[in-house]
This record gives sequence, structure tokens and C-alpha cells, in this order.
Amino acid sequence: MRVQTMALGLLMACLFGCTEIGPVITSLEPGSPGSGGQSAPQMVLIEEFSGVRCVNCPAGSAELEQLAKIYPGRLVVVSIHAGFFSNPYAENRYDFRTAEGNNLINLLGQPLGYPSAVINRKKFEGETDLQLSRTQWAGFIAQELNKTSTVDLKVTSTFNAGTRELRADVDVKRLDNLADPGTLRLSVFLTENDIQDTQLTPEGKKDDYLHRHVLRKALTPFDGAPVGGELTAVGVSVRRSFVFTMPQGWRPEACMLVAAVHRSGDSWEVLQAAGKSL
Amino acid sequence: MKVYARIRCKIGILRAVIPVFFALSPFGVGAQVSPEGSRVSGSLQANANFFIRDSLIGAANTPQYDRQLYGAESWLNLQYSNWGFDFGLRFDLLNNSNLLNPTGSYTAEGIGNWFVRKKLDKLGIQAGYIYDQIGSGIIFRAYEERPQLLDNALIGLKLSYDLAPDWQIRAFTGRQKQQFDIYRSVIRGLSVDGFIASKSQEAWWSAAPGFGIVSRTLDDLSMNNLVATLNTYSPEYAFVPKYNAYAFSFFNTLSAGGLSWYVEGAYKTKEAANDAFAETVIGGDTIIGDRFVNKPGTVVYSTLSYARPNLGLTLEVKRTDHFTFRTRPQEQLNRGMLNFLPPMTRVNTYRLTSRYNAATQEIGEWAFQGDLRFALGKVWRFNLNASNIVQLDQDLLYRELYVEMQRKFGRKGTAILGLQRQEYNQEVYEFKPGVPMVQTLTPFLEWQYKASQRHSYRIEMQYMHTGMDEQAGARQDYGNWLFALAEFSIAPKWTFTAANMYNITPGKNSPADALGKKRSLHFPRVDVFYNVRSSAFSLSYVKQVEGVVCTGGICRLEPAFSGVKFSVSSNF
Repeated sequence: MRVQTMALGLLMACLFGCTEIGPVITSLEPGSPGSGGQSAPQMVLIEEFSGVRCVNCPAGSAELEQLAKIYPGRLVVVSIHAGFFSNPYAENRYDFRTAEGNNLINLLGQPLGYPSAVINRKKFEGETDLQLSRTQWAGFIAQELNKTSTVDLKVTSTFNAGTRELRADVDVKRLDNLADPGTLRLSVFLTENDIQDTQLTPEGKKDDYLHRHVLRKALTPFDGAPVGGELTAVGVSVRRSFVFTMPQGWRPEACMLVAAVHRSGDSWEVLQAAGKSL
Repeated sequence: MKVYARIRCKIGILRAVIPVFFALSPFGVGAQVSPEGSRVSGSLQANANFFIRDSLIGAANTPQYDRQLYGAESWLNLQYSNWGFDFGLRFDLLNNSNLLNPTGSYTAEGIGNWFVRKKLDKLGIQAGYIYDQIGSGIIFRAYEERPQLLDNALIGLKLSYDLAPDWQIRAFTGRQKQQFDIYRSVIRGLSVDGFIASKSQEAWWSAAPGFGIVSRTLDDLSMNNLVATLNTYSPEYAFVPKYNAYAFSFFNTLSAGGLSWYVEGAYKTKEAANDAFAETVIGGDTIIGDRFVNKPGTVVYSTLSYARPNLGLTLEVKRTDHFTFRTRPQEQLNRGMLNFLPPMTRVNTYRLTSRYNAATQEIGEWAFQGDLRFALGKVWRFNLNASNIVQLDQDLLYRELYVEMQRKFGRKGTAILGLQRQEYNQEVYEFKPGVPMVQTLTPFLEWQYKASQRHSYRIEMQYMHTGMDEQAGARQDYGNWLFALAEFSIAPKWTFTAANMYNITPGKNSPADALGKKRSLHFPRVDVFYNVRSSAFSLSYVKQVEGVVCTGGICRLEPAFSGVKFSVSSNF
């Protein structure tokens, strides 16, 4: 029994181990991380899945705003109203659901809970889904921002207020060697910011809630338009142009063009993203 | 990455070898027990769901209703014993399944469980997938709940050693499974369980004491992600997280005569845990929602029961304070749980009495429950149950009063009559802000009649009356319900059931027509059950309202269902 007691004590000691050396926490001030000196810094596309009936989505939106302050100019957010919580209330003036949003949620996967976001459409190591819960966003965004960009994206646009015609030109430039460049596609979305409409919040339904970065329209097919076939070598550029007549009620001054170069097929990982206000 | 790939490769080899092993075994599944003493046993459970879109009740906008139309789940379990070894193997199949994510679709198949077990004198060895628990599961429970596709098995090694005839020590190490993948954090634990009994015949008593320790070492990937998140917190919320979290538990069951008293106390060291109701001030605005907090956790749980012929009394109490223990803090809802907090409410079985369930609150709750069962002669039986759950600040979460009377009428008839009263904090349990406490009053009646040796009938009637939502000017939640069920059985093989749940007075959340008028909807269900030997088949047409579905103490919001279900279960 004495030997057994000693063995038990040894086992317990093994369980407890010694004092550990913990990680270092450095609270980031807004704007603190730079672009790492890159001429075309790596941007991060965040496709946030939201809904007017999602009580926790305002907290998700607030978190993205906070992260955008910490990493100014490095995050491109698209808020996609799709899935279980996106059915509008009778009080809603707008139905934020779009055909492209429905297709994207089918392409990227249904979230387990809302809010949920897909970050650079990447399946991160140790994760089973592209969809990530709110507590994981900051970590994976920081990870993606540390990458070296392999593609450069430039978005230019003109808007004719009389005809409401929007013309967008997107230039894609290959900066580095890429595996399977033929799988690359370009997606271009139009988002509208600060749309006032009803949203469920922890305090109840709020009629004057400001919806941020709402996906309004995809100017390309929802799964992107092929560009990779033309990016045959480092330094080669490709231009794609889009013309779209903006419906009445959409405020051009609050709209943003979002472009992303991503893979297609087995992986939809985003290589670079860009956002440009009209 | 290489190590991970190697482990996957080894699992792949086992996946290949074990079925061959069974195929080459001289004892087929039907043989079961051989003259040499080897034994094969197994079980099959299979479900097939055919989805029929019904947007009015909310059975829509998921892949199954929109395009897939069909889903299936199946588990085939085989066990083989020989030469002092036990071998187990389970094939899992999930096609377009909505069990993992009620609004999503999951398709995968493979070996969901395998193990090898051997007892060498006092030493027990098990390798593979381990299902086990310490005490009542408060610090560790590896278990499976298929209705929610919960499978928290540990993949690793477990050793046990008999210290004395009534004393055993167990130790395990491994990682938690994640469907067909494995989480990266390492879990290790140890427990000692004993049994002591008095030798006196006049004053007999026994005690079953024990203690356990479980530790989780967070993997680097999860820690890096956690650190990057904490880096974005303002200094008043930031903290230095620990890689290692420890949970301890002491427990004992003391029995004397008809009295049994179980008590367990558990403590968990400080670790990063997600608080879904945390208040965070960002730029002057207070945001309510997920934030990591660094707090220790405690649970005290006790149950006192007294039993004698025709009388049973149980009293339970549980206090929980920040006792969320997961394989990594980023996991939410029912994923990655290392432990199990016992539910503290009555397990209701009637359709309407089980509509509102109190999910265990990991962050904090005070819960009490009392249950009294007694019989008067051979004719009358009674069950009284009361439960009360509050948050640590005393805000009410759930209260239930339940009375059930059963009267036998000779050998053929049995009547059950009862009443349930509930108060349910829907705002907390279902994250629905601003809704009032749901108050229900549910009388129910069941009549069973055995017409002959083979033929029997059963009828259920239930009515749920809900309180008023004064602000909305309507009944709370879905309003009042009426439920009726008729069942006819031809023993031993056939059972036919028809039921309907009718939203007799629609409530605030009931569906409305184009003009905004609330609609009284029917949710019918028809079942045919067929039993033959050790196999059971069922075919059901189901329309089911959305609700919170609980399995044990784990609950989640389930969307409405509309369609046909077919299931098979078999043991051999």
C-alpha cells in the first residue's frame, strides 16, 4: 500500500507539473500595427454573416468596427444577411437578403451560430469550418495580416449621379510565384454602410440601428469571374471593368466597392482584397 | 503537422485493419458466442429524413429544405471479445445531416470509435476512443448524445489499477475527438474511487468516496489565437491566459438504510473562458456578448434520496459559478465540452410539458429540485416535483411545479392526470431580449386501456395555457397549445400513433399571414412502429414546431421540422 501511495503521489505530481511560462499580452492601440513596409500590404476580407433577427450580431458588428480601428485600412468587411436570422421583421423597411448572399452562405457553409464570419475564406489549421465564431476573429485576422501579399488589387470607380451609372475598374497584378494561378477568380461586391433600419439587439428591437457594410450586389457572379488564366507571370496585370446602374434609394456616398482575388474549386481562399468608397 | 499526419495515417491503418480482422474472424455476427468463449455483439441505429419545405412553420431556408431534400445518419457498433481482449469498432455515417448544425448540412463517414481493452490481473488497459466520467461528470465526462451529434470521446490511453478489492485508481491521457477529427489540446486526468461498508448487521452503512483531477493543456494554435484576441482587448479586460487549467473534484455517496446522500464539490483554476453575457465598454458604448474572462470556477452539487416500498424522496441542490470547461475556450454551444453539469429539472416526457427546458448555465446558477413519489395501495400513485433555478444574483431562470396522479382500474385500465406550472426565462435561455418570463399552466391526461392480451389503446390530451405578453398585446411566445394523441398497439409487433399539436391561441411569435394576422397552425404527426425480435422500425410523418431541445443537460434551439422520418435500430 505504501508503494501504491507513492505511485499515486507521483502521478498527481505529473498532473500538476511545474509553473508554466505564459504568453505575453500586448494591448494594441488603434492604428498600432503598420503595413510591414509592403507596397501592397496584405488586406483581409471579412464576410460577416448577419441577420436582423440575430440578437448578438450588433456585438459582432461593433467588434469589427473596433478591429478596423486597430488595423486601419487593412480590413475589408462585407456584411451578408443570409440564413436563419435574416428574415425581415414586418417593421423592417429593407430586406437585406440578396440572391448572391444566399449563394455565398451555401458556398461557404451555414454558421453554427450568429454572428459568424469567414476570414479570407480560409480554412484555418485546427478548424473544421470556414465559418468562425466571434471569439476567433481577432486571432485569425492578426494571423492573416502577417502574410506577404502575392497579388495587388486596385479599384477605381466613377459614378454618374444623373444616370446613377457606376463604372468600376479593377486591376489585378501578380506579385509573386503562385501555385495553380489558373484557379484564381475575381469577386466584386457593392456594399452600403450605415443603413438605418430595425435590428434585434440585447435591449430589444431597435428601429434606428445602423447596419454596417451591407452587401447590396455582386457585380461578378457570386463565385467570382476567372482571371487566373491571364496572370501568366509575375508582374502581369489584368483589368476587369463593370458597369452597373444603381437603384434609387441606395446612397452612393455610403457605398463601397469591394474586390477580392480568390481561389476556386477545393479552396476559396482569398489572396488579396481591396475596398474603395465611391 | 507531420505528427498530426502520422496520427491520421495510423488511424487510417487501423481503419483498414480492424474490419479485416472482423471479416477473418471465424465467428460471424450471427454466431455471437463461440464454443471457445469468444463473443461478437453489436448494434445498429439508422435514421433517414425526407424534408418537405414548409416556410409557414419555418421549415425552410436550410440546405435540406432548399435543395438536398434528404438526410441520413447511421451508427453500426461492433464488439468482439476473445483471448481476454475486448475490441470495439463503430462505423458512423452522416449524409446531409442537420444534427451537428440544425441549420447546416454535414456529410462524412468513417470509423467513429475503436478501442482495444485488456485486463492484466489488477491492471486494466484501454487504448483508442474512451468514454468515461469522474464523479457525476462535473470535471470530466466523455460521452455520446446522438440527437445532438455530441461525441466527446477522448482518443488516448486509459489505465486502471485495483489498489484494493474496493479501491481503484484510473488515469487517462488523450485528446478529444471532433467528429472524424481530433482537437489539439491535451487532456489528462486521474481519479480514485473507493467503497467502504460497515461490517455490522444492525447498523449497516456504506460510503463510496472518490476524488478526481483533470487537466487541459491548450495547444499552441489555440493559444496563439487567444493571445491575438486578447491583444485587441483594452487593458481593463486583457489578462495573461494559462496554458494549463486544472479541475478538481471530491465526491462521496453515503448510504444507510433507505437513505442515500451524494455530495460533490469541484473547483477549476483560473483559465480563459468565454462569457456570452459579458458587458464590454467600447468607445463609450456597452456591448453585451462574448468576451473572454479569466476566472476560477466552482460547483457544489448534492442529492439526498430516501427510498422505501411505495415511497421515494429526492432533494437536489447545485450551485455553479463560472464552470465552463472546454477543450479550448474558443468552442461554443455544445462543442468541445470536457465536462457535464447535471440538469436540475424534471425530465418531462409529454409533448407540451417538455416544450420549455432549462439548459444548464455554466456561467452561474443556483438550482434546487425536490421529487416525491408515493403510492396508496395498489391503485393510486403520486408524483410531486418542484424545481427552482436562479442566477447567482437571484434573478429567476426557471421554476416548475408538477403534480401527477395515476389510478389503476383493475388489470385493464390506467389513468394519469396531472398539472404542470412553469416559469421560463426565455430571454436568457433563448437569447431573446425583452421578452417576458414565459408562464405556462399545462394540465394533461393519459388513458391506457388493455383490451386483450394483444390489443391496447392509449390516449393523451394536453393543453398549455401561456401568460400574456402585455407589451406585445398577445400571448407569450407561441401562445396556447392543444395536443392530442391516440395510439393503438398490437403486441408484440405493431404500434400506430396519430397526434396533433394545435396552436389554439397564437402568440407573439406565431407565424402571421400576409395581412399580419396570427395563424393557428396544426403540427400533426403520424407514426408506425414495428418491432421484430431485437429490431425496431419506425416510419413517421412529422410537422414539428421550433423549440429548445435538450438531451441531458445540453440544450439548443432547433428549427421547425417538416417531413418524413424512417428509423431502424437493432441489437445483435
